[in-house]
Amino acid sequence: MMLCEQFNDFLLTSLLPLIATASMATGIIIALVLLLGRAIGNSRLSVWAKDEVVQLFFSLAFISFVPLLVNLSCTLNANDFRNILLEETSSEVVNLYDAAELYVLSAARYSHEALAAVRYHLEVYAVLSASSGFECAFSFLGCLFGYTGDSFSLFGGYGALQSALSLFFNLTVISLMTALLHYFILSLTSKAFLFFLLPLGLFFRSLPYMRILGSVLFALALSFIFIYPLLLSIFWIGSDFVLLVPSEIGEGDAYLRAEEDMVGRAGAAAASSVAALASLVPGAGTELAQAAIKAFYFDDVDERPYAVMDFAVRALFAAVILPTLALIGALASTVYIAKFFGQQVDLSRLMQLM
Amino acid sequence: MRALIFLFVISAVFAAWQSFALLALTTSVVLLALIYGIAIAFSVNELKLVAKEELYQIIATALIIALLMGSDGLLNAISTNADLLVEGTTTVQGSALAILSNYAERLENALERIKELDLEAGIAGSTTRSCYGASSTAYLTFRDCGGFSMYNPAFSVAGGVVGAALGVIYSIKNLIRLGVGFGFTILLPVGIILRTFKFTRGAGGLVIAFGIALYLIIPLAVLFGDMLVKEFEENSSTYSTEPSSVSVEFDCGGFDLKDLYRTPTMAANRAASQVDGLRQLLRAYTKDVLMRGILVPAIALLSFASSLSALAALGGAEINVSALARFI
Repeated sequence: MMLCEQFNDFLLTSLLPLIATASMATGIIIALVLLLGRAIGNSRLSVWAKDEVVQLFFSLAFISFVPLLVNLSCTLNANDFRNILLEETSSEVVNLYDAAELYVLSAARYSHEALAAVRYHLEVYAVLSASSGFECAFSFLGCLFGYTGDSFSLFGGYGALQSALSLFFNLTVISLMTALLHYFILSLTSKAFLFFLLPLGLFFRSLPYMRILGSVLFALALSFIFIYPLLLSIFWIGSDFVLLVPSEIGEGDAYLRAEEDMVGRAGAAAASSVAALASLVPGAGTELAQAAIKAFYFDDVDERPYAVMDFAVRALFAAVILPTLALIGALASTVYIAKFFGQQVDLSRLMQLM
Repeated sequence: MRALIFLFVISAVFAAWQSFALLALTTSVVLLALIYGIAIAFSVNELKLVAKEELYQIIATALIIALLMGSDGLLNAISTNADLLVEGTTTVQGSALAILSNYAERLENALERIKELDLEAGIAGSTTRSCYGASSTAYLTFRDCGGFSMYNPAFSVAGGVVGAALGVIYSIKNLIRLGVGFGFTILLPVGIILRTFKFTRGAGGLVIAFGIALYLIIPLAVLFGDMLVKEFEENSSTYSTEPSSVSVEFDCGGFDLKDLYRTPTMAANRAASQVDGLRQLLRAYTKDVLMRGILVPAIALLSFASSLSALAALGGAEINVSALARFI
């Protein structure tokens, strides 16, 4: 990931000068206050100045901790864990940020596949339930001289299945959107939090009277720079368990293929032509027409609405539950880090929102 | 770092989660000892105090692991009980998965039956008789089985309800599957390591709680819920009807010109005569959906949410799961 190289450049060119400026400014303010305290014999000012010196050292200690943490995240190879746990032999180096990004993108792709599978079934059921047929009452001559017989819906209603699948369709849409949202959050937090919020937090943390704001910003930045990607990378290590396509659905199934491979308008037209020809067969016309239409949609795959429902639920876990858990974990860490700096942050409302 | 990772994960291939957790705990102790050593070397009293405070946290983690080992042993002992054990399974998780697979199969059959009836009612309800001669001046159409179309909206609602119940069962199956897959082999050790450091304690507590809730609490809740279902079925003969024994016919019948003269009677008889059968079917499926599709999953999910909150608090992370509980 470019982030690691960018951070080291940023550290040398922007962060360190900023830290030096903030530290010097704070040092000058502290020195002036100390001098003033001694000049006018005000012990409170002297105590304040001494207290601020300690805080300044604390801030500098934490600042030195940040590059260490980022570089640790950049050098930690998540693939080492994965290789041993899953008995794989991949030599690819996947650092913590890469692993987090890979997980979110894989979850998005997985959700999209689940979405395609549900959408395909829904489409087929909508087409099937709308098709209609006509059975002539006179089997010998047909309706050559009169239009007498039964017209009916070839496949009746698919309302029950459509209603059930609609729920799962909504789930997969939510899953896909949430996965993309997490990708956005990851991109935002790894860039904006690292290159903007963190320096801002450090700067404010160094300034007297701005310490509370600085601590909260610093805690937020640290959580989202380290904890959030770390938790996502843990899910990436176990992604073989999470992003598992149900065994009933094969890799080459029609609804997992690209859009152009699916049965489109031309396919549906061909299906209806075959069905029309099949319907001419005396006695078994209706059954043959039904079979012909259905075969166009489920020729090389079986009709598997239940496997597809399971797929949608798995997508929900991969793309909604686990990434949201990572977000909750990051927020829980924010509270802890802020507490470490002596500040109490109430994120209960935000937690509920998660 | 690589050596540390290697030491940390090498046992995963050969050993159970207990040794994995102990190794993680040992790693935590080593890291803490390192911090204490630095504190002594540079005479930093604050760091010494922090290290001492953290030692208590490691003791707390060790107690959590000891509790887990004890409860796992207890659960394994329970799972060997013939009354609880599902045939062909040897663990609590395996039994819970077998129970849920059985529930899912029953509900899939229910949805399949509802689909078949929906299709039959749809075909019957949409059938329109037409009589139109090439040289005639009159044209007649009528729907003698149109009454069947009233069932389609009801079947749509039933399909939605059974589909939602199936979704919940699949969810719990997936939660258990995740728990078996990486609850104790990845989440627990990583959580223990994270819990070692003050600033990652919140995340560590949450990860430990998630691992335990996935691996132990949900399967146990499913077993408990299944006991309730069995108890209910043994003591309630009113709901003992098996859906497969109920017969419902949605056949519109063949075309007969004589039907033209007795259409009103036929339409009323054909659609309305199936209500009794449907009522019996509804009762049979309601039991399955309510008991297996809603009650047991609700017990499992609420146990999961509340244990997640309690275990996370025990692990040092105050996680508000009220929104999650409300969602359930």
